[in-house]
Amino acid sequence: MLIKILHAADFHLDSPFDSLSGEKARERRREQRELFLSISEICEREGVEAVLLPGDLLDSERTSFETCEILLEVFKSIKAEVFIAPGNHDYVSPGSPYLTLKFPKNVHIFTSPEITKLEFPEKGFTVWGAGFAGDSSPPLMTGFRAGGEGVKIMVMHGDVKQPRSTYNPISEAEIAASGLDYLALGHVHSFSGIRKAGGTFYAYPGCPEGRGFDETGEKGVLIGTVGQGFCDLKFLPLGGRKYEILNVDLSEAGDALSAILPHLPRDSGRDIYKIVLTGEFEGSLDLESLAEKLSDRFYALTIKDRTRIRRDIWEKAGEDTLRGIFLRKMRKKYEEAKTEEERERIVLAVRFGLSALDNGEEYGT
Amino acid sequence: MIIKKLTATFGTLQNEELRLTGGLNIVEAPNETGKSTWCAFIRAMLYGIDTADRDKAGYLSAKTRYRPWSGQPMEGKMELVFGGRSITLQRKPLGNYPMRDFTAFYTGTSEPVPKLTDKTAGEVLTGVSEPIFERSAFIRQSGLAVSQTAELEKRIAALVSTGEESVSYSEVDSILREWLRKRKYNQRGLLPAAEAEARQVRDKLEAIERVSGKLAELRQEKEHMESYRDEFLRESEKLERYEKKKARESYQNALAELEAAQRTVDETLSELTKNGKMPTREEIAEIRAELEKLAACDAVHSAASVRREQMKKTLESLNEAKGIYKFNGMSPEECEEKANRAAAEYLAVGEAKSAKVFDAKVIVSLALAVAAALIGALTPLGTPGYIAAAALAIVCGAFILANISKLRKAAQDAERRAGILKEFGVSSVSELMGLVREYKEICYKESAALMSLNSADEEVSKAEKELSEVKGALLEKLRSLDPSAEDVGRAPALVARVEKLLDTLEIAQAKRDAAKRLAETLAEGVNVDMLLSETGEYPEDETEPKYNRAEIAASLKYAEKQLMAINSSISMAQGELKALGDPVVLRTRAAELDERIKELSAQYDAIALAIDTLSEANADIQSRFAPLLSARTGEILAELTGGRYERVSFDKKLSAETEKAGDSVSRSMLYLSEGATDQLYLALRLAVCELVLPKEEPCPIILDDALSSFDDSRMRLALDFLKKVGEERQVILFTCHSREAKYFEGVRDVNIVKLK
Repeated sequence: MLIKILHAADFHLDSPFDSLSGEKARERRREQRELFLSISEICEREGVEAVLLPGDLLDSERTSFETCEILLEVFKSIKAEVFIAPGNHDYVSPGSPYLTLKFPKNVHIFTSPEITKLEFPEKGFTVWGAGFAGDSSPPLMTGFRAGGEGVKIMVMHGDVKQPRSTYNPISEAEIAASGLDYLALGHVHSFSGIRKAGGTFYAYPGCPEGRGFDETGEKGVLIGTVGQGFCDLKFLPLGGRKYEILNVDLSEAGDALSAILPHLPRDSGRDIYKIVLTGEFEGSLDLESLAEKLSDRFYALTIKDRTRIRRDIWEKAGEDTLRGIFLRKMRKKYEEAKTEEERERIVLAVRFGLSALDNGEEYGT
Repeated sequence: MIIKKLTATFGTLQNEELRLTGGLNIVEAPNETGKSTWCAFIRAMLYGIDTADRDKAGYLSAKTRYRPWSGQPMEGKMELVFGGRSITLQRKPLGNYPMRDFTAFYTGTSEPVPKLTDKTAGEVLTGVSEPIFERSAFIRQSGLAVSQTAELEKRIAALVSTGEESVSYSEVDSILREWLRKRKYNQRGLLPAAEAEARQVRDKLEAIERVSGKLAELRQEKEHMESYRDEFLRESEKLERYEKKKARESYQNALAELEAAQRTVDETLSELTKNGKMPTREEIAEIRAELEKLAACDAVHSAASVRREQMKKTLESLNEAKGIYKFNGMSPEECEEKANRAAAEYLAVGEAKSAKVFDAKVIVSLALAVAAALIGALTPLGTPGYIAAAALAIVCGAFILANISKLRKAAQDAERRAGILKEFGVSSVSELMGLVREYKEICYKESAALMSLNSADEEVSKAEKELSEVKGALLEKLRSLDPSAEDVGRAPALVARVEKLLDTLEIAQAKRDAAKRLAETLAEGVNVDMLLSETGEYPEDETEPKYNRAEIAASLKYAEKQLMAINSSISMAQGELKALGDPVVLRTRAAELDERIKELSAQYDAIALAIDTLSEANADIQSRFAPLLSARTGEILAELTGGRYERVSFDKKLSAETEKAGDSVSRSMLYLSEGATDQLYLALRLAVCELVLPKEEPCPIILDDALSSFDDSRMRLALDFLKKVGEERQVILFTCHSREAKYFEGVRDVNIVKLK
């Protein structure tokens, strides 16, 4: 018996977006909702029988009314059975939408931290699941064994191979001993690949769309079939906007813009980029002006200066001038600095000091 | 540079000339002759007049102070030697700008001197900017103290380091502090602004959360109240259907009742009129009256008959009663007579005494006799006891015998009397008399009863007659109801039946009318056909409505009112939410602001670090220049004071401490006298001149009454020193005293000019 499933996690609906203006944040939220609506279309098109949503579907219990309406609209339009296991962001609390909204009958929410079983003998599968009751959780799978007939599936939010995690740590041994055919996981925001422990397949699909620079690259859901001892799931990118980081070394560069231009990707107009300037650079970096010149090539752009002071600047520390003595003292502090943060502060102090010594133009403007 | 000649129309100077030479020049000018004006003129010729400077309270700008008293425009000429060539500078007004029209040409030619302009002349010729010139080469008595300026600082710093005169610590420090303040200064700056905005955004997000929570509660409340309202709407519909059903039933019942009542009316009428005309209540009443009359007659007859029978019975019983008396058949008189005779006889015999054989005396006597017998038996014969006993016995025996004889007589009398009474059956005369009374009474009663009986017979006859008449009348009337009526016995039943029929008719008619009115009322305003045709809407097995119309209306009104209030609250909350803004946008902005605050804080810390480090660097430099300056000032001071003060030390702000010769303790200059302080600062100014003024093309040092407070001996020492300085650069000493001129009288290389 094979069951067609769609496994998606960590939508974090209504979460804020990094590095976007108010208008763009509003636009992104609309896109995020449309992305969620597309789940319904995918289910219809692919003939999905079970939709597995293991956690953090919502960013918090304070989800907007409009988002709740869209949730209900999507779930009503999905013919498949939908299984939700709340995670550390959308845990079940008295005010949770999981308790206050009237979900259609095909939606099953695991509101208890005790593992609950739902049987669908006519469809040939059984689904187990448990939900977070707070923003952290002790292990929930300890000692679990799946029994019975049909395809055995579990939906769970948790941390695999992180024994010190406070978000339902799960060991591979527990997965292997569970007797499940497929464990649909959520919490980790990048696709893990399809893994196996004992006879049980498991995976994290990652989040369906990036929301910050810690969620870069292509994002999507898993779709395919699972059966007894069988798993054929494919990663399906959803085509949402990507967050990407581009590092540009300015060490040999005369001016920043010329150094950046050759590194720019071609089809980046839909995406949100962070350009990190590295290397040794002596000149004054007008980040705002740079961002303004490059912004039309991206949906949104941030530029960060992580350049180091040029060595020859430090060489001026040998001069017997106010500048030289200043640099000498700063160099000493730099060498004695214990943390990267301290070193960055010193470098920034040098930049400001040199700007003031040279021409009075404020560094960075 | 050496100033050779000055021509001025400036303040009090009206086209006046002053000629000077290289070396020391003493310009003796009494008060109010323009010393300070000449000094200001020299500065104005070199650096121009600052036209932006404005007069203030207690202060006149240079352009005002030195406006020529004559009313002429401010102008002047300076002839000097620079770079081995004679140069003439000329300044005139340019429009409203005094001395702005500047020309510099080689003296005696019209060839302009390159690089000398209104703005650059001073710095080119003196080698220093105006502020430095002001604070070094231009020494006035009232302005001896050296004040810090960036320029001076740069110069001094450059002196003690390897160069970079363009770098001034205080300028850099000032720039950095400005950047620092831009980020944060007290509660102002980019950082507090970002923090304030972040707080505002957070407050808004908290408010959104609060209002969203409230909105969710309101929506739940609304849902609950809508359910409540819908329940009552359903109840209202149910009640309506129920009422329709009841109305239908009522109408149908009313119609049925109407039909039934009509049917009853018809049947009753038919029954009533089957013998022809319809009987009336009056006819029935008459028959009733006749019946009553008949009943009355019958009652009278019955009563009379009963009374007659009673009388008969009474007579019979009296007769019977008489029969038991021995007097029966006698009249009361006869009876009484007979009884009297018997009584007399009886009394003649005598009253029987009751005699008892064994009365008490007899018994006692007997007892005594027995006792005496016993005693006699027991006692010997002839004894006294025996004799007593025997006597007693004899006595008692005699008594007893006497009693017995009495008794016998009494018995015979008694027997006779008894015979008399026995005839009447009595036991006593009184009883006999009693019987006589009774017998007489019975006789009297018998007479009365006989009389009553006769009366009763008459009554009965009369009643019978009347009864017969009434019956006749009644029968006649009855036949109007029922022609076949033959006797009046059926009359009550017949009348009752007719009356009942009439009642029934009346009731049926009333019912019919009421049913008709009800049906008409029920049909008012209603489509009767539709009402009757609506069936099946209220199933039979459905329960009755729980509430009445008033309760439903009240509940619906309450629900609507509540819903209105809730909707209003929801609208307000939604409005409030909208006004607060989009939470995703706000959260994004909050994150943005946090990042910005982090960035600004890092910049603030970095700038603060740069300021501190630069300060340290400057302190390093200052620590180098201070000794240099201190050393040279100390040397000059020693010369100016004749060795009295040897050492001087300065802090960053050029405040001094001095050490007297032979003294190991240095003291602040605040301890010095005014004169000594002036000497100290003169020494400092002269040391600064040496340090900061360029040695190539040395510019003149101009002193305006700088030695006024010096005593004669210090004045001489100062003049000697100035003469020495004059060997290196032009020195122009303006003084209001004559002692300086006198001191150098006859000395060749000192130029003395006396102004009038």
